Amino acid sequence: MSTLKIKGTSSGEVVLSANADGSQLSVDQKIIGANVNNRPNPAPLIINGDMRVAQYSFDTSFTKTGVNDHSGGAVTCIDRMYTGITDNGTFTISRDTDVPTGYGFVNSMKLDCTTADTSVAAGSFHTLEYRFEGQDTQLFKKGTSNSYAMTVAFWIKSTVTGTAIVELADDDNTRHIAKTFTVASANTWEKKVLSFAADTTGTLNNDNGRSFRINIFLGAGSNLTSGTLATSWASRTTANIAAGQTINAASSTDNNILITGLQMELGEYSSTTIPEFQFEERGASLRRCQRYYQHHVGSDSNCAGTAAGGFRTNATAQMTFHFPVEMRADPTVSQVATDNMLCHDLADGNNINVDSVESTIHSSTGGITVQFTLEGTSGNAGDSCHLIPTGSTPGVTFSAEVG
Amino acid sequence: MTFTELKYKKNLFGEDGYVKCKKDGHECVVPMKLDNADYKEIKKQLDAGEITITASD
Repeated sequence: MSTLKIKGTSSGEVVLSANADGSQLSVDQKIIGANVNNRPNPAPLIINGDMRVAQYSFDTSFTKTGVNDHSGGAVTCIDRMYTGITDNGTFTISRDTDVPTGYGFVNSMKLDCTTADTSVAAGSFHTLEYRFEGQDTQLFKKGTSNSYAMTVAFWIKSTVTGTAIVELADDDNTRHIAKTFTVASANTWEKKVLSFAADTTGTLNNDNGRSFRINIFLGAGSNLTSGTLATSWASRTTANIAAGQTINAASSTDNNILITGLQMELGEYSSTTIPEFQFEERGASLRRCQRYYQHHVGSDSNCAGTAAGGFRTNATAQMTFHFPVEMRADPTVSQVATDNMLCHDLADGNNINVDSVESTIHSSTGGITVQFTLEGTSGNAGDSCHLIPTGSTPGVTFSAEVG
Repeated sequence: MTFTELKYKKNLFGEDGYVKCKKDGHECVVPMKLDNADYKEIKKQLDAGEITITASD
């Protein structure tokens, strides 16, 4: 067997081995360098890190209404991006087109302060959160001797300068680690890259519950800052979560903060060695987001499907929805607005306004049958029907967000 | 999250399986499954005595 070696000038090695019998060449490719990363994850660990998918944004109340006082955290109009704001101003959160130039991004998440909080109370805080299901964290190998170090990166543009905290939180074992980053220049896109040590203590649950979070702090009261920042993995202590935080995104109603390119890699990287952001095509990203939220009988490009069924009585109809993607859990069903859909009777062609979600007949992670209350009593019990969107905010939503 | 006008709803087998309510003003139906984030929060507030749920019909 002959061997041909091709060596690059600085890095990289490709070995082609030719067999004596003329059979197919075998190729042993060893990439040793900074530009190509042999990730253990085939798709980005962070879903929708480029902020492109915003299924909630069809509902203007989600985009426009200030978000505040969500003790359990709330999803924003950008899919998979949560916020936890406890008595620390009010913000309008929206999808924006202001992005760092030349890196492939087209959207960012914008937080616009609408009610200021110039004096942050001791127990108040503001976080942007990304939540992982436990079963999606098994590849971290956390709690074993093979546990990975982790690196978090993102782009931020902020009117407020100063120091802020990124915390990795292990919710199954109540452990955490945190690092500071600095917004040096106002109104300037800056890329932040923070690496965190591996944790050989505390395995993560292999289930669909919340096991792991990335928390980016945009405000923190003294209860969270009075200790010493947990720069090594340790039991989660409130006083050590955000020590050193100076940024208060709610300091003025002039404040705007934009973030995009949220990225997490397994392994320790610096700003010069971190692999490029791993973009997904939009369809793939939307499908991953639909595990947590779906919008049916809508009229925009995010709409996941429609529904067919029949009239149960002259005032109710039962409709079955098939989910294009298995949802994380049996979902909460909600009609976006009264009279935002028509129930079309296939026998006589009548259209009847749908008033409200009455109950769920049967639900699973793969589909659901919902009973709706209709306007009036002109339905024909037993007739087949389907739903048609109408008005500016049509449709039904299904939510299986990570709690 | 604020839940109001809560009422149990029966499933196909005649057992309480869902909670109809308003979540932050939006009408919705929540399955009584603890891996549903809304039910987890309803249960937390119910156990804390902050809310009550009307019996099903």
